[in-house]
Amino acid sequence: MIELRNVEKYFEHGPTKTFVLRRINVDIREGEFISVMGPSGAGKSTLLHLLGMHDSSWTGEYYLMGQPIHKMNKKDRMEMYKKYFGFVFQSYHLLDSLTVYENLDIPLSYRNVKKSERDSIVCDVLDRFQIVGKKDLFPNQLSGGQQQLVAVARAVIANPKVILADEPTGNLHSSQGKEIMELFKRLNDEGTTIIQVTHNEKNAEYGDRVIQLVDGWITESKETVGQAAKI
Amino acid sequence: MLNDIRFAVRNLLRNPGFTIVAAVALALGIGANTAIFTVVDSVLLRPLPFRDPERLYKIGANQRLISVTDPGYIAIAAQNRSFEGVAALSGSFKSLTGAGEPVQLKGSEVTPSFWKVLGVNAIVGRTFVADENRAAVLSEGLWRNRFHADRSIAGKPITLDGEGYTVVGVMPASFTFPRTDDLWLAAKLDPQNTRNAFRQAIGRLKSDVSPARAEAELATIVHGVQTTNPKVFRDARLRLRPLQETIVGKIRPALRVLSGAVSFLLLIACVNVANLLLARASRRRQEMAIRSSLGATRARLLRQLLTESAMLSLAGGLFGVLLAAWGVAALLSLVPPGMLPRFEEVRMDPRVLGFTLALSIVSSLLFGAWPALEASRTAPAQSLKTSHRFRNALIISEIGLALVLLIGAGLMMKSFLKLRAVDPGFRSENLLTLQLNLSGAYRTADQMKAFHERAMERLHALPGVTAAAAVNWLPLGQALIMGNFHVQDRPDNAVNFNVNKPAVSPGYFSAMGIRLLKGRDFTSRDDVKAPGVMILGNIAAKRIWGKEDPIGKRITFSDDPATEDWYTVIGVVEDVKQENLKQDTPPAIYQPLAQVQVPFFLEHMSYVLRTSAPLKVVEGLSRARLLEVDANQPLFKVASMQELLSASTAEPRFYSRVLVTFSVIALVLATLGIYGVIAYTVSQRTREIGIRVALGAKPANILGGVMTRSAVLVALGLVLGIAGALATTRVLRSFLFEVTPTDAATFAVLSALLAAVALAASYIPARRAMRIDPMVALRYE
Repeated sequence: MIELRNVEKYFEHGPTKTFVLRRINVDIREGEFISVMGPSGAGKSTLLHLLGMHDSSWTGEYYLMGQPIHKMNKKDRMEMYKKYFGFVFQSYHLLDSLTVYENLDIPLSYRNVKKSERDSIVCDVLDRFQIVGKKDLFPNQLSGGQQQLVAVARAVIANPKVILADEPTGNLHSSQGKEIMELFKRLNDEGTTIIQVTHNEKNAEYGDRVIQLVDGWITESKETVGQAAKI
Repeated sequence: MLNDIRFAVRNLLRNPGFTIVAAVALALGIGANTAIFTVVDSVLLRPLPFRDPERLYKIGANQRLISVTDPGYIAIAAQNRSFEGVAALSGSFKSLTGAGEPVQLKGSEVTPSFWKVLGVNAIVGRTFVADENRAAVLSEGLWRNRFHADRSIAGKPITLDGEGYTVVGVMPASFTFPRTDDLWLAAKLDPQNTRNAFRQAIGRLKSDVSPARAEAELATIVHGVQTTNPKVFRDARLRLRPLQETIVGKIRPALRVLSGAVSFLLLIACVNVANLLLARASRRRQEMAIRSSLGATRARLLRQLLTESAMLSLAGGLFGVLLAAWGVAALLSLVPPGMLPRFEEVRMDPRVLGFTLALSIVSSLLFGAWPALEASRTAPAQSLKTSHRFRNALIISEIGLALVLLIGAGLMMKSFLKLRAVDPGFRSENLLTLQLNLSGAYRTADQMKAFHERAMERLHALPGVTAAAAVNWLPLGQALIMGNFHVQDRPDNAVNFNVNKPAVSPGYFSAMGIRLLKGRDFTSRDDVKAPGVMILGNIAAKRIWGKEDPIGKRITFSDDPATEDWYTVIGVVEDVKQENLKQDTPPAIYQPLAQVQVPFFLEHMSYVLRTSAPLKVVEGLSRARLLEVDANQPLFKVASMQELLSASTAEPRFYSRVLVTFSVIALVLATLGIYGVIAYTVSQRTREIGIRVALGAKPANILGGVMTRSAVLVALGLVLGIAGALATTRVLRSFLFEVTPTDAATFAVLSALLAAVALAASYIPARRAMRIDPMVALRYE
């Protein structure tokens, strides 16, 4: 599904280059649950944002569903992103001036989905995530866990093939974090590919594979005995 | 799109402080523009309220479209083929008696074709038919006020100047051509009178005839008439000018200046709001990044942000319309009478509202475009730098624009103050003036002089009156006769200038407080039987005789004088301003009233009363005494001399007031603008300032740093403003009196004022910066 070949990212300061990612070669299959781990500054979030096409200044080859992303212009990349990806942030990043309903509606609106269809999809997701009663509330009226739940709902509302999650439980209590991870597991079981950045080994156990990043290099990529197996 | 509108409104309501400040700034800019556009539209742009007004032209002699003689108009009317119809009109004053208290009416004498040429009809009765004599058409106002809106008024008699007229019709309230007349009278043309040219001519051009072709035909008519009677047109060349242009042309430059001023105000308001939005944009960077990550394209983000700008602008526009309605009413109340043509037609209408809507949209693009581009940019680091430079550029331009407005207002104010300080040549305090036009039974010079004598006797005797006199052409009274003269034993080409020729009663100069420089005043012995005498103004005396003593010299007004037509100079007086304070003091030669033999020079008279009692009291007593002399001779104007002086400076006072108001608003907006920019910069630099303090910087260093930055912006703004003012204030040249458009003192003082105010506004956030606690600042992030 996703192939990275010799992907590199660096910043230039005069004659010197500071590498953030070095010769990244990764294959991610459809339906996998990947955890990207490593110390601070390893380049985990950079890799995630690169996969999500938030970052366009890198070198190498990036294939998504067989399409060469590295050859596409900004507009085409955005279209690919909208078609295949959903993103979950550590700080939830809900839009404070919009209600829960509107936060879920907005990604569909940006994908030019008709109003009547959007209403139907949003209602469906609200029901699926059991947050119908909160649809008219604003983010500052929700707890951290509830906000992250809405953020995950927002990420899946356009039916993406891949969810990218950057430290999704970083700002949550352990019990709330567990709920979110189990949600991710359910989504993965339903066929969604999940790629998360995490410091938390327990969270990593929910996944199929861990990719270790140190100083921009992939040092390890190993299968895990996931929480799913334990469940 | 509906979502964008909904979110935009919600966003604005969630930030009431920002929204109110921005909406008020926009309301001021849009409101001022709407108010001025209301006047521009009503006066300049809206066609005259007549049928096919674009085909109406004024016909006159030479570039100034001087009036024509009666036989000249008759020739035009009879011989032309270019016009569907032509008409003649001239001004007229009549006393109405027998319908309530006697009153002086302002009207026009018009030919019967007048109504058809304009394409207007009466609302009661009819207009004139051919060869109608002593017929009157009333204005709606006169009909309502004096005749109780009697619908059977047509055919009824009225008395004007002691003579019977018949009312044939009433015009609608909307009809006020050529001015706000009380009535129109059927003109009696004299085909033999080539001496006086006082008929204005208008015509409705045929649809297939161009003005150039019509002018060519008129030239042929003039040439044909000249061969038989050269006095009909004299050396005139007849020209056409669109009637609307002749009515509104004079006010066009002033309205242009005011339109320019309010455009500047709107730009300043837009710059202010743009700065506010830019500050907000940097706080919304994260929101924009989230929206981008959710799939929003840059175009979509721009659409959302521009929708917010549009909502803000519409809010400003809505308040602006309310402000404009108040502003138009205020403007109209301040406009001096007679200054604004089509005054009664000024009103807000759907066109003005459409203008406001368009202006709101344009404004939203002006102030919203760059901040929207900035906020939707996806390279934050670069956008921060560009945004910073752009904000500085905005504040510099805002200060520059404000200075241009301030300097314009300052020049007008200085000009007005200089005009007000002009010495009129007489003492204006405690001086009452009463003006009348004799009519009816008074036809000969002796009859008129007898009336004036009886009037003066009664006025002299009033309690509180310390001096009383009469003059036919009152200084600043808007009536005047000028002409040439001849000096005995001097060839004409050695003394060749026109003089004012007022006729005055004995004691006039002392009543007016005009200094007698040489010789003596007129006395009661200088009557029609005594040798003719004259008193010269000082300018005339010097121009004719230089340092030679003029007393005893002889002058005549007659082109072919007999012995008794030579008058002896008996005195020299200080000169006075005649038409207005702005014009050079004219030379004058005074005659004693008792020696004037031409009735025309005695019909219109002003009595001047120096009083020790309150003027209102003396006014009431004077009116009563004059009605005792003849109840059918009403006064047409009573005013203190100070009111007349004030009226003569009314126009420059009006322009000054309006421009000063706009410039004060601009100053406030610019001050708020620079305060906002410096305050924002301080808040952005809080961490940096905390570090500096932690490293040993003193509060004075911090203050100095912030104020230096502010001073640089202000200085650059002043340079821009001075350059802008030098380029633009030349348009004010014709409005200024004894002040040049580049008056250095005005430029210097107002630049210093703006700098002081702007720096004071910067001091507040600078003080805040001084007090930043390094520990708080270092935890600021």
